[in-house]
Amino acid sequence: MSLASFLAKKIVSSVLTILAILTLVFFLVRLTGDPFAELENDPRITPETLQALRRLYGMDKGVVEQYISYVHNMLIGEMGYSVKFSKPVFDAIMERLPYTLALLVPSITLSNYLAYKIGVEMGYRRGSRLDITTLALSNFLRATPYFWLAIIFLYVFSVQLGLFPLYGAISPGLSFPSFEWFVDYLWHYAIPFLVLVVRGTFIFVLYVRNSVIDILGEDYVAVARAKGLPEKAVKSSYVARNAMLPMITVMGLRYAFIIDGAILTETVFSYPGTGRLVFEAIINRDFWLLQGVMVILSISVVLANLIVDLLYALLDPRVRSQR
Amino acid sequence: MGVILPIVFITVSLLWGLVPLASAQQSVPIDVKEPPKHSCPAVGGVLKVAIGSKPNTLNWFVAGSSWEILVLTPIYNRLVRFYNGTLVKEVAQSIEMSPDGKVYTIKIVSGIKFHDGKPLTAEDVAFTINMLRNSSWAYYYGVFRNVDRAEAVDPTTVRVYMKVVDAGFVENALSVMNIMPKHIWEPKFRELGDGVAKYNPSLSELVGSGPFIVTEFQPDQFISYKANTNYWQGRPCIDQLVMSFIGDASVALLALEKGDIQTYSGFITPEVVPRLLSNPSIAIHVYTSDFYYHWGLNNKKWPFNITLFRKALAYAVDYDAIINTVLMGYGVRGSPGFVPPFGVHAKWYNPNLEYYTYNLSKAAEILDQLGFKDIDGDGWREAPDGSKFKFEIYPPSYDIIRVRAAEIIADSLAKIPKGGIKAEVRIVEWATAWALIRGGQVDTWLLGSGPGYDISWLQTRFHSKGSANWNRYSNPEVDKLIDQLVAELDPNKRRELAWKIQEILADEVPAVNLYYRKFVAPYRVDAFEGWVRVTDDDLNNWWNFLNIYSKTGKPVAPTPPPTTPLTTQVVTQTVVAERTVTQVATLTQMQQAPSIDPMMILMVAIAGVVVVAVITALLLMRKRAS
Repeated sequence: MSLASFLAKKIVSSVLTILAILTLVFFLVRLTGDPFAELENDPRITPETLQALRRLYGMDKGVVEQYISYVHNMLIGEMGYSVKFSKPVFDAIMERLPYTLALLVPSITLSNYLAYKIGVEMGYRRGSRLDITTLALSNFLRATPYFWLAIIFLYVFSVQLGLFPLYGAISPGLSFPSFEWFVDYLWHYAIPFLVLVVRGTFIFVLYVRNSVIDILGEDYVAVARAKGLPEKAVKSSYVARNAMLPMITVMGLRYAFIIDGAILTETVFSYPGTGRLVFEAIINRDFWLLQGVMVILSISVVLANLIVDLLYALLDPRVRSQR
Repeated sequence: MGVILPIVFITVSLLWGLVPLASAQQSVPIDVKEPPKHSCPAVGGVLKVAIGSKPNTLNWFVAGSSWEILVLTPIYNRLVRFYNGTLVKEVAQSIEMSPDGKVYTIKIVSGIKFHDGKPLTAEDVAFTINMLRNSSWAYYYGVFRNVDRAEAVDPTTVRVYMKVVDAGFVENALSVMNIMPKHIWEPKFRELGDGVAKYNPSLSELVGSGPFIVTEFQPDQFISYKANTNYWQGRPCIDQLVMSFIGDASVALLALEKGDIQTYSGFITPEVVPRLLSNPSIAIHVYTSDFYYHWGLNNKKWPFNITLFRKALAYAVDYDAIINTVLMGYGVRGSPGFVPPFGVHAKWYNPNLEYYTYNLSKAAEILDQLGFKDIDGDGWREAPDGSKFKFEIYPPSYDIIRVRAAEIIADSLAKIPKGGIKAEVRIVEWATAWALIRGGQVDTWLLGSGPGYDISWLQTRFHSKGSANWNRYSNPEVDKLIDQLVAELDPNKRRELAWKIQEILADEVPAVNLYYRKFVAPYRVDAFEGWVRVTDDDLNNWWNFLNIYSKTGKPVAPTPPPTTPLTTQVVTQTVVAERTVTQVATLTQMQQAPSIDPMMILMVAIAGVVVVAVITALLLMRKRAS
């Protein structure tokens, strides 16, 4: 099978998956309740207002009719209006997505890299002081609630040392493309970034370590050593490279869930982002917003999967040659 | 020529003299008090505050959450506004009502300018009223729906014609209405129609006539304003106001303790009050919310349709336990007539009502009389026909207070002498429970409901046709009284009716009113002064934004003392705060190391010890293995 047909097959199945998800999302969100139910106990809201709102957001129509217009709108890239934000879903997402991408892409990349590097060393030197210390720290960090860790960081760096701000992503009164703005942005960025990197690294380091330990037991490693290859070459070309394969799926998919954001980071650091948007869309039953983010989420998961598959094909000749 | 001029003059002055005479005979002035005046001992400074959630829209026509309404408040003026439960004048100079209640004539202050320099006239007021009345999607449509139309008679006079008499119009509608500039919003309505409901104004369109001008809005982060130095009531004392949105209360408290913010609006658990008070720069304001949290009963379902049975339930609630243990003292006993005894509602509250006491033997007596007896001796009462009897209580899973209150209620019911009543607390996701409550499918639930400003709110909650009568209470006599109450214009007669309705409600127990909640609002006293503490609100409010001044601001030459200075208003809540202080005095003394929180150190220390212990253990194990 050539790479081209492999690719074509993957793309067709991806498109079908997205269409299936579109349908599923539409019906699933409508099982969660009514976006306007919360208003019913508000003394100022009359039944007429509820009716008018339902009409404005197209909920007075039948489900089939709503579904047809939904699929049509999604195909032309129109995501509709959010009830909670009273504005286009696209705008609500786009106001926050840059912050999320700027925070999560570098932190995921760095923590993936660190986890990989440290994990290989840990697996290679199993039982060493490095391994055991990291293992304990890793287990500890996995077991600590995220918000607790975040608040400890805030307490130490922002309150006690007074080095960083406690909340927000930028200070008021700065114009966007300026040096000051950028410095202020980094100043706010530091602690959330640090927490995400530390936690990400220590969680994923275990996957790499275990993968390395598995590979060390493989025959081809023994063969390489028996051939008399220097240990450095065994480590980099035989162990580390093969340990990377299962990691690509695990770590690659972290990028797919970026729009899910880092909801706890956003909450604790009062940082803008799409994580809380998704959360609020769910608790408020904001159908259109939820549909919008779910579609973006599913598209990015499918895309990330596709990229992982392609990377596999590049890295592992066995995948390419399979029929 | 020489004759005509004097005749014209005399005729005109005669007619002119007749106008006020005629209107004085016909119109009833609405009682609106003079507003408290603010004065600035010093000007300047940036006031940074935080609120517990974020506004999602800055379009006032659809802004519904309290946060959205709050962040828009400093930008706009209103005709009248509530101050500590009293209606006071703002843009309105006088409001008069025709004797039949069908026409309101509002005189407004002249010379007010919007931020963009255009004058605020009667046209703007009439426009805002008409837009609200014509847009059924608008958040405040409900309180304006009885309006037929509003007209600007001249630049300072607005006439509002009502379709039906609405005695609560001024309190319910005008007190919440921000005056929107016609020159900005009329083109929008013409262009977008109902699409205004989904429109987000840009900063340059957030034009009002209020004391602050928006300078920056970052979604999910903050909104900042600069003072409108030409503000017609006198400039606010601060130069800038920044409201940050901090969702996590513990972070907000850290920011407050650090001095990054001056006050915080958001839920703060009473447990942290001693820690906050150990900081000499922080003070606490306690205010009461008028939401009545009640044990809702489905009056259409057996046995909750039996008035005596509902009474028995009212006797079986340990009100003090709920307020003292669950709310930690931060609550006021719910009035059996549901009208809160404080704030805006105090003038309607019937003080002669008899409150139900926690009296299990009385409950047992009533249940015996109704035939609910423990026949098979299993400790639980059976229904009169001998079948097993139990019911459910639905508290919302997100509110731990109501979950615990429900458990206390179920507990007391089980302890009724000669056999308890079995009640199961069902903690389910609220959307699910809410659908069941609305559908009338469940027995009982715990709900918090807000009353409206004017007493006519009883109509939505207790009239058999009320749109929010979730208890499905139906009493023809109450229906008749409520109908009269809504149509009556004489305040004294209205009070009589309201008292009578409360008496019947207290006697018939459509639901068991449990408590009104008190909330904690912490604020710093070291950098700013002039905090206005109203009994029904926290410290992020209109009055503070106008009145607060920086201690390091530029002093202003003393002006003649204002007629009613804001700061001398008596605030009853102080007493509560002080009592809290004495209650926790011992705790406070133990925590005198101010800046470092011992709990935090303890937690870090424990975490450190655990990590070290684990590492050591693992290293030891390795040594033994090798």
